[in-house]
Amino acid sequence: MQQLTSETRINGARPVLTVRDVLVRYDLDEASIHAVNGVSFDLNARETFAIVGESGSGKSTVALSLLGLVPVVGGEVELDGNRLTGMDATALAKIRGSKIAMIFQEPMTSLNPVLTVGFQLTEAIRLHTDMGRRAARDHAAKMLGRVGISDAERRLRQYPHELSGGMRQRVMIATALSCSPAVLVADEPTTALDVTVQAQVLALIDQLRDEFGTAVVLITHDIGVVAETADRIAVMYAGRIVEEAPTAALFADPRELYPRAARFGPPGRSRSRWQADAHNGRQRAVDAELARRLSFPSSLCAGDGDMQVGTAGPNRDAAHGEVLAL
Amino acid sequence: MNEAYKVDPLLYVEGLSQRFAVATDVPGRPSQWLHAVENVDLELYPGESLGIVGESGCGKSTLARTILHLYKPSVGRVTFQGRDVGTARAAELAALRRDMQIVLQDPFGALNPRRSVGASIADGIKGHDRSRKAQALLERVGLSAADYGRYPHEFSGGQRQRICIARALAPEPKLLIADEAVSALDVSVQAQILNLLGELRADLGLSFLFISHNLAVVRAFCDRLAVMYLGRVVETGPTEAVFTDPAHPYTRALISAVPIPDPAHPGQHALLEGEVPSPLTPPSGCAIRTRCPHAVAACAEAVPAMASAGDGRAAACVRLDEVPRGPIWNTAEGEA
Amino acid sequence: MFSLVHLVPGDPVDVLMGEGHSDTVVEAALRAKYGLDQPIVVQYFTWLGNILTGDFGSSLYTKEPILKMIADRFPATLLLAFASAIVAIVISIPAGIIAALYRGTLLDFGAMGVALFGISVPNFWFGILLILFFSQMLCLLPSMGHVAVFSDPWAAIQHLFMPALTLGTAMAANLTRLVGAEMIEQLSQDYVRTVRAKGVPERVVVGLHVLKNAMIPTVTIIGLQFGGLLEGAMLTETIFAWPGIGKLAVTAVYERDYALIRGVVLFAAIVYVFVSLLVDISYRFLDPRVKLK
Ligand SMILES: Nc1ncnc2c1ncn2[C@@H]1O[C@H](COP(=O)(O)OP(=O)(O)OP(=O)(O)O)[C@@H](O)[C@H]1O
Ligand SMILES: Nc1ncnc2c1ncn2[C@@H]1O[C@H](COP(=O)(O)OP(=O)(O)OP(=O)(O)O)[C@@H](O)[C@H]1O
Ligand SMILES: [Mg+2]
Ligand SMILES: [Mg+2]
Repeated sequence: MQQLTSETRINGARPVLTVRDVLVRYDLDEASIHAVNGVSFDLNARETFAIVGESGSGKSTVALSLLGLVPVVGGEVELDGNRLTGMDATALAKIRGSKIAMIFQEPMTSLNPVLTVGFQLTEAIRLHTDMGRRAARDHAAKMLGRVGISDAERRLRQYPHELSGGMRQRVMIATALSCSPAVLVADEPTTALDVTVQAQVLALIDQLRDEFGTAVVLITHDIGVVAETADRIAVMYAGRIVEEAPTAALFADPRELYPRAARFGPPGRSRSRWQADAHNGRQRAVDAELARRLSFPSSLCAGDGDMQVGTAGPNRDAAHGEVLAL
Repeated sequence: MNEAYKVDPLLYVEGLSQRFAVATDVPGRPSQWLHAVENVDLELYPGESLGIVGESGCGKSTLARTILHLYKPSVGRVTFQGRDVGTARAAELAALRRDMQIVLQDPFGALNPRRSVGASIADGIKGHDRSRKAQALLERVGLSAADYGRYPHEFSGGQRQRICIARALAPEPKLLIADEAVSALDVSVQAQILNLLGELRADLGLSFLFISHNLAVVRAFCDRLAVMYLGRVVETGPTEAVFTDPAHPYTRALISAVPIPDPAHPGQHALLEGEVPSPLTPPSGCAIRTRCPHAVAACAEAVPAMASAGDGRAAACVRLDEVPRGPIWNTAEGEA
Repeated sequence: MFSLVHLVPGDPVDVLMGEGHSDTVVEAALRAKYGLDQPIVVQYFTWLGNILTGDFGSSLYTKEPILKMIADRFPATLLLAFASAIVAIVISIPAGIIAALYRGTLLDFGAMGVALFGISVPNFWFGILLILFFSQMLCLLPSMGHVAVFSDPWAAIQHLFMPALTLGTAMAANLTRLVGAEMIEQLSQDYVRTVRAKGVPERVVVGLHVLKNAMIPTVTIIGLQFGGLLEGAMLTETIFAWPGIGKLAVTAVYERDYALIRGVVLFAAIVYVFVSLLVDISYRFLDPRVKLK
């Protein structure tokens, strides 16, 4: 580790995860999509590193590449001094689920439909610990309880389709947390959860951090969640990290971060607004740089309190020209 | 808001219940029921947008599916455009379903993995020139016409959601049931989609049943709100009124749990204490009483009926007059 | 089906009385006896009525009760069908998995080549080839006949080997392609990533998680192909002189034994319905999303 980043020097610790110039391509029939174009970052123990960015910017692909779940064509990923890229399948399988675990973005389809929740939860526990069947099941039930699923014993016997979307997501979260991994990759982990359960799950992840020193890569579009949990934030655009800073620094300068908070009132509901914004929406898709700016700080309108609940509310007033001046 | 509508409701839901058999005894007879939706009444007017919020697992998706009769209701009736959906015949039901489209919470399950997304969208379009119209729809949801021939698994989570939205809009429905339809989208795309939906609502009078955990989106998009808890509606009313002055203890807890986008105020939430009750063995009387700070003995006696809470709102709480009211996130407000 | 049998040129009474008979009185008596002088519609309803009371009638030719004839031969066909199904499954599931796992490689082409071969090679030709090889050249296996399993299991298996292989490979060809396509589709599903992320070894990912999902459509096809298996049994049983239903049917057709043909076809249809029922029931175990009503 010659090239320590400023962050690692501050903590004086060796990063638990280092990512260097990772490249990922998806080959389609006629073209190939350059989903990740050289992403690098370091992650220290106990740290939460948030990745934000617009839809399709490659966040999930970065997450998948950390576990070797997509073919990485360039760069390297190192976990605790072990190079994951290029590691053989058996060795990688031992690390996945125990040292590095992942919560996937799609809560509805990420569980095997024909196996019980109990089987899928205990599978990882039994693979990576020496717990017996009974002990693994008890541990699984306990994990379900901790993510706020009541009646855990019965839920373990159910199949995924008998659970609500949020419950499936929590089963996935429980699975990922069950072996107390050193690195947790959480890709939109709370999209299917209501705010109360979300708070509970985030608290659980925090607890894990304190207890086991778990480092978290958190992908989310929920700026409220970012503000509450992240130590550092990276903004991705078109497969690259285009901005990276400690959360406090990013949130500290309101002129930088809340571009329109002072200038615009709460979102109105007048029809002309809708139309103007729809136009801007299309405009945005074209103007890449603008889209990047908007995808991150737009809704941080701390103005007159109306959008206080705004976790990541739609920002209908954005892009009226002023933002371009950013 | 309701007096503005002098028309009949587009969708009328009366006493709707949905129960799942979760255990059977030996001869295969159900021996235990899970009450996913209990006695829900709703009405939705043309051009209106009704938000449904509530705890994860409280029965929102089941309610949506039951309204469409994707699950046959255990009890209750759904009337759409004056037609009883339950008694409609197959052909008629198909026609009704064209007019009430759903964006399922599972964006992948709704798409045929073996067909290109363009073809899936084109299926719903009436008339000719379908593929061109499908491409136009793809562009309107922020994808490109070149994505027409790609397959569902080749898209990111947010892209899949937008494909599902395009697919649901293709047949030009009158009602769109959106179950967590924008949950995987970042703010700018979310805004773009909501703008598109708002535009359709203004131009074509499209109505929405909008299920979401994202309260900011619900607040911005919905005229009225229904808050659910353990299968029942516990509070309804105009969105702004519910947000600024929630009446039901559960609504208050829900709104106070929203994360605040300011690192200076981490985790100041009035979370509900206690364990989430199981829908298999719901508490007697008011289901929230086991976690409610204001619960008294009377709460255990009967399921509270909906009662007026002012401003066109109604809430199901026996202590409606005694529970504290008023805005709840003033701590952050004062310092932000 | 009923009318189809009658459309086939030839007349059972001719067959019964032998070539070139001339006794019209006997002929008329025979016709009356078997009801063949009645219009077809009447014949049909009489037959239907009998079937409903469990009476399949008796053969026009041997006078034996049809139900007994079928019951005598059915075990042999059932044995052959199951043995072939097992051959088909044993070949096609691993082959399908290999084709899916090593997609685009030589192994895939190999597996698919074999599958294509299996589809395009006619049953009877492959059967004869086997006889030539194992019986004539190697003198390893008996070329025809059948031995009851309980009397001499080893001989029974020897007799069973070639017919089952003939019939099984035909079915395996289709199944391999299906299993391959299904595995490929399942491998692109989201849950596969989750399972891999848990650190589950690849062989368990494929052999348990993916396979269990891929089996759902596969079992349907196996059920559907069972009908084809009975049909294929006709040729195979004839080649190997296997005393089963298929051979019985072929004989019946030669002899224009209307009653017997009807009986056999009806029986096959019943078996088919029964197999479909089994498939439906097996769904309940394979796919938790399907509830048995
Ligand atoms: N399996 C795949 N095959 C082909 N292209 C893919 C595949 N998965 C993703 N892509 C493409 O790669 C790009 C990046 O996708 P990725 O899933 O990483 O985005 P994301 O940032 O997670 O977006 P979202 O916020 O919508 O989830 C997108 O353009 C997407 O269409
Ligand atoms: N097919 C089913 N069989 C048995 N139980 C079911 C079935 N579908 C849903 N349930 C149960 O019904 C209850 C409500 O589920 P539903 O999916 O409607 O919740 P939801 O409000 O949409 O939650 P989320 O916000 O998490 O998506 C849950 O307890 C769930 O386990
Ligand atoms: Mg993603
Ligand atoms: Mg749901």
